[in-house]
Parts: sequence; structure tokens; C-alpha cells
Amino acid sequence: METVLIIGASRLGASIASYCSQTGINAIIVDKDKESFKKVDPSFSGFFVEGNATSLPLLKRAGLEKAKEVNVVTGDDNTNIFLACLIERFSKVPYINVRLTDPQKEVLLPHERVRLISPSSLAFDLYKNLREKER
Amino acid sequence: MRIIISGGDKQADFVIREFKKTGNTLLVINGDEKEANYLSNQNEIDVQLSDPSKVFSYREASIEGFDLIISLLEKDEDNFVACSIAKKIFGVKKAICTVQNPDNVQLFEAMGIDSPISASYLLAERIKGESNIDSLIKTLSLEHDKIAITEIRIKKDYAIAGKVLKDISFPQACNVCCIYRDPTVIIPRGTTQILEDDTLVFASSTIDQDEILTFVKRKGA
Repeated sequence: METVLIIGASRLGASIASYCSQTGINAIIVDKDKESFKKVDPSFSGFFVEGNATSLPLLKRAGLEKAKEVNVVTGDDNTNIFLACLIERFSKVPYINVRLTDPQKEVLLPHERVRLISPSSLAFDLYKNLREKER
Repeated sequence: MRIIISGGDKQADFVIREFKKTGNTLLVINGDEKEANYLSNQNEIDVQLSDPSKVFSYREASIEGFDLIISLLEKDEDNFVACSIAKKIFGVKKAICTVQNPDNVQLFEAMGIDSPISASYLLAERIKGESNIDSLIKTLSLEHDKIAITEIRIKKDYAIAGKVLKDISFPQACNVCCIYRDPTVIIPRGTTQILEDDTLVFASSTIDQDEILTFVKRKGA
């Protein structure tokens, strides 16, 4: 079964977790705050790992090496950039998805295997679409 | 040199003072108004009040061509990002930062930060250098690590326990300076007998230290 690692039980992290459960993907969520696991849908069938994801040994314990995809979606851009660089440098995970709020920091992400999820540009695209419809 | 100093209060204050003495151009960025005012008043220097882990802060300050960034922010990830912004976006030549997690020293280095500094990492390295990891042995280095003073507690099963000093053929580079036998300190002579639980203090050159340890800790027949 495909394994997906989710770092940060943010709203986005929780949504990805539910999506994985529904589509039969084995998901593991890592967050430093146990409380935040409450955000995740009760039907979630994956695993929770409590701890600081900026530690490489913890990520490995959580299953970094067997994951096909890692989603770096904590609420902090700097943490996400650091994690993306760390995972790109020290693992062979094929897909690393990273959420960044500040578009100016995109250039700090590694190019290989890293894909950007940018809420601000997504929201702006939506705005443009709405605007088109007004015409 | 042209140097950026990002974040930090007491540490930044010290760094600013040191670098100001030697006539460097300093750019100080701090995101906390109180700290910024403090640094500015203490050192009679302009402090830019803006978030040191944001790209626009550095753009505003035009840091292109600077030689060094010293990032003293609280969180390791923030320091990583501040240094990366300076190096990758603005071509600053060298990045130094503090890290809380000693494990990050090697990771930061592998990811392009020239000198991550961790107090606990330095402490551990220093301790490793100062002493052998053996609860019975204490050592002290003198003259920039050229002379080693080694303290060894004698156990019953050591070959030299119970022997008289002149009968022991110590390695050449080794000299017993004194013996501590609770509660007295004995200045050894050839006729002094070594007893169990004595603490022997050796002076030697640092390179011979291991040989002495191996010799003294040999088990008796």
C-alpha cells in the first residue's frame, strides 16, 4: 500500500489525511502538538506521530524512507522551507509537496522533487476567475 | 567587512560591539521593537526594525555585496531561512548562525550554512577533547593541549596495584607527579607502594596519554 507522510496537522494537513483514508492510502501525520490531531476527521485510519518533525531520526521513525510522498504543511513557512531542504537532501522520497504562504520565499526551495502549494497564488487565481465571470 | 546582524539581544549587543571596534560596516536588523531600541541605544547605531526572516527586510536594506550574515534568531528554522535568503537571493558570501539543537550543526552545514554554532555542541566537543570518557579518569590540558595532566584511580585488579614504584617499568614518556591517598597527598619516591584506590596523577605530553592509560589499566596476573 502506498504510504504518504503529512507533516503538520494543519487544516490542510487534516484534509489531506481524510483524503488519503478515503482513497485507501496509508497516511501518517506528524505534529508536535497532540491536541492538533483533534482536527483530523475521526474516520481517519492512518497513524499519528507526536514530535518535532525537524528531527531527522523522528522523520525516519515515522516512515520517511518508505513514503512515496511527503506533504510539508505546518503553519510556519520557515519550518516548511527547512523541512523541504532537509528531506530533499537526506531522503529519496520521490514527491515533496510544500505549502508556503510567502511567495517571496519560493526561491529558497530546492528544485528537485519539490512541488509548491501556494495558498496565496491559488486564492489569486480564484479571484481572477471570479473577475472574468463578471464580464 | 560588511556584515549583517539579524536578531538577538544580548548576543547581538556583544557581536555589534566587537565588530564595531574593528571598523566594519554593520547592518543590524531586528524584528522586536524593544530589542531594536536597546541595541540602537547601547551601540549608537541604526537598527532596522523589520522581520529578519522576510525577504523584503533584506531588499529594503540592499545587502547585495555584503560579506557576512550573522543570524542570532531564536528558532533554528528562522536562522536557516535568514541565512538562505542572504546567500541565495542576495549573494552574501558567508553565513554564520546560532542553533539550539546540536544535531542541526551537521545538517545546516550540509545545506549550505557555513558556520552553525551550537553552545551544547561546542560544550560536548570541548569535553570530549578535555577528557577521556571514563568515569575514573580526569584529564586537563595545558599549554594549548601540548601537556596533559591525567588522573587515574587504581583498581584492585590493575597490574601495578600493590607494586613499588621503582619496580614498575613505566613507559618512558610518563611521570607520576603525585599520589592522592585519602586524606593525604604523597609525593612519590622510588620506594612508594601503589595501593588500591590510590589516585595517581601523571604529567605527560598529550600524544603519550593513551599509552599511559593503556599501561596503567593493564590487568594483573
